[in-house]
Amino acid sequence: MAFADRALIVGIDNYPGISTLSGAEHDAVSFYDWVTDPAGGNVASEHAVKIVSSAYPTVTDADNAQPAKEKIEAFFTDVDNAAAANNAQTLGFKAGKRLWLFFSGHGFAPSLDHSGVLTANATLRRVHNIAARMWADRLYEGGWFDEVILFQDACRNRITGADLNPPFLRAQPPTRVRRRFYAFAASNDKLAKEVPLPSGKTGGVFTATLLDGLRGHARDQRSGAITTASLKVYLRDNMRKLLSPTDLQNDDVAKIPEVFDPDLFDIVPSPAAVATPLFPVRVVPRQPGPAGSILDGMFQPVVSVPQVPQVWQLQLPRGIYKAVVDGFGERLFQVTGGIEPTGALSEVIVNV
Amino acid sequence: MSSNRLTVAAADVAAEISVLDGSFERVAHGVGRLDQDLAPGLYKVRVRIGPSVEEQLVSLDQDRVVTIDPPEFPSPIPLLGTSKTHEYHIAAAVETSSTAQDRFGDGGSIFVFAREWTGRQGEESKSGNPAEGLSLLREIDADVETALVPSLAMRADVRTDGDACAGWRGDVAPGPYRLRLALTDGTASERAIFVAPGQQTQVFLVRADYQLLDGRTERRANLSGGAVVISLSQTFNPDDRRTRLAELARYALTQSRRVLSEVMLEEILDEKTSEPMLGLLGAHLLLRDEPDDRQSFDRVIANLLRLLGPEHPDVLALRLRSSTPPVGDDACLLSPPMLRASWDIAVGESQRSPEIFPSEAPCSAIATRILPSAPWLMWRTGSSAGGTDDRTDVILDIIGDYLKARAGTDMSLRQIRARRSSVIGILETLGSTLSTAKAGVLHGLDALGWIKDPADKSELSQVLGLPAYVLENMLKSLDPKDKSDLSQALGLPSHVLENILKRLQR
Repeated sequence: MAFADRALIVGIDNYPGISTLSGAEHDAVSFYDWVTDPAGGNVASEHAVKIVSSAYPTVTDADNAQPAKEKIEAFFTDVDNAAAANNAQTLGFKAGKRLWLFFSGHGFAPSLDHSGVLTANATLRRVHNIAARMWADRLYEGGWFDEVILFQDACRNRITGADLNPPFLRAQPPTRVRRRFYAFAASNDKLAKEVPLPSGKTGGVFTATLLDGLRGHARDQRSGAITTASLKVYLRDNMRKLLSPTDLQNDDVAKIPEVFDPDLFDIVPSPAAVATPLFPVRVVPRQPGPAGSILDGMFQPVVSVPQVPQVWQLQLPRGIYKAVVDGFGERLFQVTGGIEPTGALSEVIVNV
Repeated sequence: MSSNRLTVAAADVAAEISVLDGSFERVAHGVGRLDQDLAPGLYKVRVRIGPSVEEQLVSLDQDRVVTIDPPEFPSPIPLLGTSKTHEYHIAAAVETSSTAQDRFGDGGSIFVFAREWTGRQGEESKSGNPAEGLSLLREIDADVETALVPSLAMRADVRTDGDACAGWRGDVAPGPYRLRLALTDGTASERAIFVAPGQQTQVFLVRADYQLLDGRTERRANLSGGAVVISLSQTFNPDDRRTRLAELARYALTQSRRVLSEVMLEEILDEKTSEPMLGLLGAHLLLRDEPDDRQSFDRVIANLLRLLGPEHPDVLALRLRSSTPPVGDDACLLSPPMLRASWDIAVGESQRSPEIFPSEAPCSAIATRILPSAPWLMWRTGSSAGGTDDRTDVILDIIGDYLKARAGTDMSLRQIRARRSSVIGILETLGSTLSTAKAGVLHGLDALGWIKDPADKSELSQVLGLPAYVLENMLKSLDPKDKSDLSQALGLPSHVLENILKRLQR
């Protein structure tokens, strides 16, 4: 197919020159599984390149550790070659409609513009890296794709002293409308946390929340699609729910992602049959007995009962609501979704 | 359809305000203050100050005014209303900024305040002098620095009750200085401190963990994450509204936040501003977010010239983008600016005007050691005064890789490469007998004949933070033996190879 969607997924745990991570490869594999799923990102497997530590021999000498930069940059060369091949067939200089970029591992981000993900052969003396944001910007600016989506779950340790490697593809003058969406687990010297996941594996809180959202929990209520706006809100509302109380108190730990979303578009289209995800809500009235109702964001009742029980259990879609208990008052609350560290859906408790 | 007015008043003019409807769709956005007519319903008001966020749910069944107390945000400066602050740190900073521990000259002063922060919960304090590893240097000329204060830890007023803090003030003559952090693994980094006449340049640092080359962890002042205040009163004011704004502007500059509301712009343009740092940061925000607003930018530059003087390297760099840029010797950047964004401007302008970076100036001496930091310009250095950490070889390696990878994308080149695969093998063998840097460039020279666009050099220069003439010099570093080997391996007559090299050097 001339304009196939493409994906580059990189997850590096083994850094003989720095420190070994536990969850970066797991995050990359999980994202690869989703992005190549026809019900997910729907990228054909022949156009999805997964580069992870376990695909290479484990070495103790950092200079020989893989994947190094060249393995990753080969993807960008292939992208450019695909665009050139399309251009030679008078289809225009374009590689595909959408590019997915996912990176997890050690990284640095003193600013969003100067951020990078370390390659396996990085040491503290020579901090080899891929400037993921620069690559995303270059591929967006030059029109290799109509849409560029970047997810970066890095900065798991504080890394300094890196030299950025500039993208080697020459900038092309843009010829058509392009769109992009970038989300970073952490920036500005904050740390992206790895935590034990309900599956028993270790993974980044950013990627776990991201995949939870992409799998359906971040759907826009009206359209049913997962849009850049709805995913941004979902990430910001829920990434912190997987952090421990200690991490929540630690200023150095990133609790909200940094999102760059200049363009509004659908990341995952609405399925034919939209099953709106529901989340548990527990309304606890000061005293059971009176009538009660739950109003949605437009003041329309979504649930009404003649007698509010002692514990009123509900299932509601994401949104803002008002709980009204006759004679006792009302309380605004929001259902943001998300999952708890136990794997259970996040429950909202409303005291009226 | 009826509507109700929602008014959101945030105490900070740089507060980013978002209003989301009941389905979490953003329906309104503003900076500092928001007035919006909306359909009756439930909404979430979200106020972001730097990295901190406050939210409030609102039932808009009638006109509503929502006042949100500004969330505390973390700052290295012990300002009132910030989250990483102890009262005793505030008191110590005020006190130690007012009294000079050392006197090296007149006309200005430098204040360095380093502190520990273990959180408000009273986590067990970490031991150590927060100023450990810090030294202050005077910039005499390129390659030679005099350590004015070899150990700030020894000279500072150190207080160890609770989270330790160390404050040091030195009276100095106006001009360029450097703050250096040396780690016990022999690595060190520096940043610039420029003292304008009659002013105190204050640097605030919080300790953080550094990973050393030998795998150990060392806790030292976070040099790249610090903050700078330029005080006209030569004392520290923890309740200075404009210092708070400058901190938010600093965050906005590094994290691509857009905070230039009308009120924020008024603060930046205010001729009576008492916080030049707000002016410097604001000028960069204007260039980035409002590039067409030349009038406002020129006004800020005029203010900065009056406050800091034309010798201030950040002011000089910013002036290069003004409507009346300096020319001739006035456009020469002698000392490194404090801000990375200022350096990037100068590097960009050096493509057209190489004389911006005089070859013997201190600026040029650090050009190959720049780190990808933000917002401050940082560079590597040796751990002792006068030491250097020249990384020309590393940069040549990067350039070589870049050129080689670029060559791999050229369709015609790939066809030629298929015929020349044996030559490439010879080239790589040759490369293995040379230094890493030169090997990298030699590999890249394989593609020289196909690289014609001067924009490549311009881009390399900009991304690496290298003045144009420095890049040129590195490309000229091949000796006659290297050229001879290459000429034979590729089957190129020497004069053809020379012409290719000259084309890249143009």
